[in-house]
Amino acid sequence: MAVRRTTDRFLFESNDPRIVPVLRIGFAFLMLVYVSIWLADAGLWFSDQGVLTKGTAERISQATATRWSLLKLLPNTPTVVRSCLCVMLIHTALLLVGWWPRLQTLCLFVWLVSFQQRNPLLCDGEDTLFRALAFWMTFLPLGASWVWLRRNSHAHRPVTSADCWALRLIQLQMAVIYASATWNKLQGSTWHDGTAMYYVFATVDHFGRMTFPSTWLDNIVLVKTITWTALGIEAIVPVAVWFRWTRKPALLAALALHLGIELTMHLFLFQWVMILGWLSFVNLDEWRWHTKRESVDGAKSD
Amino acid sequence: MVRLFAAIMAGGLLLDNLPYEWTWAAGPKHAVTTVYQQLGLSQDGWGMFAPDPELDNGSIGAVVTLDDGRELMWFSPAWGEVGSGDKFRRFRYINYFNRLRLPENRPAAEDLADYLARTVPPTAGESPVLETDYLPPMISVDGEDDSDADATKPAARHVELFVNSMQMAVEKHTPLPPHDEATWLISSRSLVSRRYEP
Repeated sequence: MAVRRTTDRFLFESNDPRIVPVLRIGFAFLMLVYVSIWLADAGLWFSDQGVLTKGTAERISQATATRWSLLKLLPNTPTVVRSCLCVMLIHTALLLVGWWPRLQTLCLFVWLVSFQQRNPLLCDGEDTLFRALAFWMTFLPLGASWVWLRRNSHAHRPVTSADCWALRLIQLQMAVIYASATWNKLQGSTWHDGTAMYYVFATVDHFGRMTFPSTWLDNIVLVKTITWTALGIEAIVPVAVWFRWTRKPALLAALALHLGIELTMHLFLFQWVMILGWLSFVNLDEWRWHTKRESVDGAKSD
Repeated sequence: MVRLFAAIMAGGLLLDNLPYEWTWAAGPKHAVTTVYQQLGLSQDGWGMFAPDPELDNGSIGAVVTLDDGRELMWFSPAWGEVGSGDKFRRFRYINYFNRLRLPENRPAAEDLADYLARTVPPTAGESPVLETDYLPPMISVDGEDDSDADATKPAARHVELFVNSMQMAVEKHTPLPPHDEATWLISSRSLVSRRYEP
């Protein structure tokens, strides 16, 4: 009984429903940018007249990836793939205004899988996170508040913490990303000896958003400090973020890490979708500075 | 039901992301990853400059030999010369050209060679090096035209696609040099060689 009680409190009583519309709107804004960039080169990337035919895409992804894709069922002409991306934009806009938002995230998940399968060479970790967030958000009460286009105003009822249990899956997702990245980094040598960032600083495709004096980038003490700080944050945050007293500094550390990377590197939307994912841990009551803490739905926070 | 579903999804998420080094969990991980792949949910671990940052500032290039024997050259962008705004808009190109070098993506390199054979115009002005915006624009195959109006379908061509590697040479157990004084190893290898028949 104690285990069940703890589990129930963890799943149903300790999430902040006020963060759900923030996730919905933030995700929709990021998806608008994401899809628009795809749309600009839709024919080149996703049609048979572009750089990768449907048959080759299937050969590449045959061994390791998902087999299904809506684009396998459709003619892969530039007009068709552009139309599909326009449909995706419509789903995103409807998610933004809150019209059947769960259905929109489910449709976005299907489109994301379909397009990522169609040209896997374009994709990296941020695409995986977009796909995962779209899926997990399908189980959240996305249409409860901050909705501009409600389908049935009479059906509305206040959302409770119990409705937001899927926030725990998003939170677990974020912790897993950091933990997995930490483990994989520890398998290399440059993260151990502190020189990893020296090599990152030398890349011309990802690094170089801001110009730094070369004396900084060549300063081995600074390089090691940055390398080990980044690794330390990735190692500590996935643990510290689960405890009330360490959650706030953990989230601030993750925010600082991602804003730092955003200022210095070209990684498209990766930092923003990561920050959005970490927002799932935010309980607004914990961030009040001067008022007495009020519990959400009368329940204690974990 | 919610508790059961949440437990299954959370367990699956953890198993799918377990390290391959943990061989004691290889069986369950493989089973879960297979199912998650079918659902489109597979993640299979997260890298992000792991285990070590990959440093190769090279590019992709191609030599297109026309029927009359003339050769035209095309190169992927030199990212060091591209501005921040363009890098944001063209971020997919960075991923595409980086992944094209991997051995498992050789079929994709063959498709790129065919694409270049179809789209490189027969003249490139005074210079044999093609001045283009990342990749030549598409040419209509079935009536859908994405190219300039005067573009014509090419005759048979030969395309040699190659990778120019530019990697930093660092000796073990010696201090890292300042970036400006680092030694770079430059090499070139063939990716694919294709005869294109329209």
